[in-house]
Amino acid sequence: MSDQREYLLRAEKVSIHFGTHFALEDISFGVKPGEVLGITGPNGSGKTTLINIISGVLHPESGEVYFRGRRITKMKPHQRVRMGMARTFQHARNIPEMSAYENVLLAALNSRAVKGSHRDLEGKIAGVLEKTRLVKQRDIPAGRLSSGCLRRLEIARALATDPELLILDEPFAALSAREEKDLLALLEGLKQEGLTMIIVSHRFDILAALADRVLFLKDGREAFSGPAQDTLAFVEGQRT
Amino acid sequence: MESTTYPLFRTGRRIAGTAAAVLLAIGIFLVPLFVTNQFWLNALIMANLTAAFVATWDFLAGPVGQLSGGQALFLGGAGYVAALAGLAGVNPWLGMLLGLVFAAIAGLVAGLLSLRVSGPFLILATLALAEIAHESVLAIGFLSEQGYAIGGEGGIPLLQILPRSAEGFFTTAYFLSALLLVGLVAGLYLMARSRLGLQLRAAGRDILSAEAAGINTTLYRLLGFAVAAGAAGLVGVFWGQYVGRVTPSLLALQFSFSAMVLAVIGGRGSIIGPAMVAYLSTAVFSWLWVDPHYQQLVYALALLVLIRLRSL
Amino acid sequence: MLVFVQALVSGLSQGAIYAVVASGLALILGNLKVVNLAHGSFFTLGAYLTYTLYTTWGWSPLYSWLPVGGVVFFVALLAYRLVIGPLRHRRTTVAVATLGLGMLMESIFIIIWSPLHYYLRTTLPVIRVGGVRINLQEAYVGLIALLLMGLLFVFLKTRSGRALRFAAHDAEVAETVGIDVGRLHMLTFGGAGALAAVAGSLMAPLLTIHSTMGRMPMVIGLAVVIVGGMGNIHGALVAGLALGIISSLVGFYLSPALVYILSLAIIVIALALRPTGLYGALLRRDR
Repeated sequence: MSDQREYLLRAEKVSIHFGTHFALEDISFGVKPGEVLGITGPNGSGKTTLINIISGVLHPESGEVYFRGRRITKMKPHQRVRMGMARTFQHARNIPEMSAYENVLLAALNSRAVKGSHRDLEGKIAGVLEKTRLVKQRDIPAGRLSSGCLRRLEIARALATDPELLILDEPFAALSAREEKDLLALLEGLKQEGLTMIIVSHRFDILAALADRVLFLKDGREAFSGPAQDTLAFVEGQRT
Repeated sequence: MESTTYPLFRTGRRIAGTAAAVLLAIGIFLVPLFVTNQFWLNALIMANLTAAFVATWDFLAGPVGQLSGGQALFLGGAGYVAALAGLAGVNPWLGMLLGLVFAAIAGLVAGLLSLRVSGPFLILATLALAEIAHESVLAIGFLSEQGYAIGGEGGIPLLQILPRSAEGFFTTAYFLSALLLVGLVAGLYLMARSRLGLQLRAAGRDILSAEAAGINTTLYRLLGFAVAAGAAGLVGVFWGQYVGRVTPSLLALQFSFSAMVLAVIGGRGSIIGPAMVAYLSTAVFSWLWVDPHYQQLVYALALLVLIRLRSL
Repeated sequence: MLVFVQALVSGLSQGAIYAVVASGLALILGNLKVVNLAHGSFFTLGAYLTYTLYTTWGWSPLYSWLPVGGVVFFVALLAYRLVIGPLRHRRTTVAVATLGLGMLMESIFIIIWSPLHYYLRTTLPVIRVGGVRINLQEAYVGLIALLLMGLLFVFLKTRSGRALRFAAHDAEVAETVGIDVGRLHMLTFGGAGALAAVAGSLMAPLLTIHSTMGRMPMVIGLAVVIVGGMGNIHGALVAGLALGIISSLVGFYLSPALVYILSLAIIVIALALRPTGLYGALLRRDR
């Protein structure tokens, strides 16, 4: 049983069930700083539920979640954000009436970093918008942005909180080939900068290349956990 | 309602709008120079107070993003608490403060409710809370030592800090009510436009999204409600002081409803618009000596027509 | 003890009326997914019409509920077409619209019938059966109400009734199976309005007729619906009868005003304690 502090995020025997069936059963895993963990599996395997538990939207029935060594199992989502954990949603949740700038501002106001001057804030927002290539959409209400832009805006908001851990829920869903390439490039860049990430996606082919390790869920249980490159072999093995 | 909220940050219109608003505010203060007739001053004082009340509903509906079906609870409740405190021999200033405290607490309760209950059900729940208060004060009545009926339909008298018989009562009352209106509307408006307002709006609009941005949604929801309710309470204690009496009509559904309608007509979320519409309609209805039943008819029709138009 | 039995009997009859009112609300809630805050005004309309039919043409309130129900059915249909229909999908807006409709009707009542309170004489006497005073009018009202509930249950078993229940469960799928959901909603609203009006008509001789008289039955009906399981008609009957008995006992031993306040409190508490809470509905969307 390795030391808590070696891992940035650690989940221990997390279980929850909806109604009569177990959505998640005894899931344990850890993410080391700088690592990229991919979580994949068929629909209904519990991926999003796991993310909801890690980000605080749900509380598990049993098991614990630790972030930076601290027990966060019962903490509310905004507290985890303040600690350095950011997430995106499967269906991008931005405030439609607010512009891209305002949406990012909301997050930047609650960033983990020490609050600087007004200029620092503006600088941070500008930087994030640039990184996610949303500078032109700055003042457009989110309700009028394309789905690709909305996805990037989600990430921009997450980045504006200066996270140590970024969790992405199905970031590649419903993207055109071009948008997918752009997003991949963005994530690769973040990986180079050393940002720890958890990426939930049923695109295990992308994860095999992008992630360091992969956790494969099936029916709420861990079916496979290991180096990313072994994922394809595992999936092939499943098919026979 | 899902109509678009007031757009933030539109500079050109902002400058013109601010100038107009400032002129209007100044204008309101200058009214006593031209109007000395007591009936008219009274009508305009009521217009000021109603406008301030409507502004508080709009602050809740717009920036905080929650529709309240019982805004009268905060206004009337505060008034009644102040009046009851007066009956118990409490200093009227302290009584007003107690009224404010009541309104803030009631606001917190409503805020907590809003975390569990959404949309149409919140309208119903807040409406129910206001009706409970309304029925309670209607039902409770007793005779004072001097043999006066206190409570029930007739309401409760308040010890006025400035008595009605005093010299320049109406002019002073007008000035104070104008100050209340302008101060409240300005304060709520600026709060709505500030960064605090932005976070309030997010917390009201989408809890999951706001939490993901690091906003403590529970805190902001409660804050928003406390501010809106407290502001309504402020109007309420002033109302009681001015009229010298609080009656069940201050807690009535008709009252809450009219606030809702006027805010919707004035442009939900803009705060200044609803205040203006409320001021104008109250003044006009007073001028035309319109029966409250016809007023309600007009309000209800206007609401239905507007809802119908906006969704087409 | 005798008093208790009286209150019980009276309560059953009141409860049946509450069940009728609640059913209307439940139908609207279940199908249109909307809180109908105008329901009370339809109740009131039924009462006013019954009063006018009696004073103008001498029609007995014992049977005038039938034509009154029919007329208000069409009034409700019209109201739906004009006000509610176009807004079908936006729940909060519809709730506000129904509130507006209700308040509009209340002000119209005062303008047409004046703010005076009216009293309609009962046509059936109060009799004594073994020391217990039974109000035959009340008993008659209760019986008709139970009859209506029975008819409603029978209707729900018919083809139309099943279409209704199917649409309540999943409107989108119902459309694809050929059910005209829009028309269904309109007819449901009409039917609910008629039910409320019939209840108001039956109760007219037993209550004071005034513009806001429908608020209390509506509130009690809402409490019944929430407690009986939103949209569930069987639950509405059981909860209605139960609440009827309780309110009768409370009204008799304590105070009638308390009944209204209690129902309001039930609504607030039941809504606050609903298990869905904050993330329930949202999670279903995100999974």
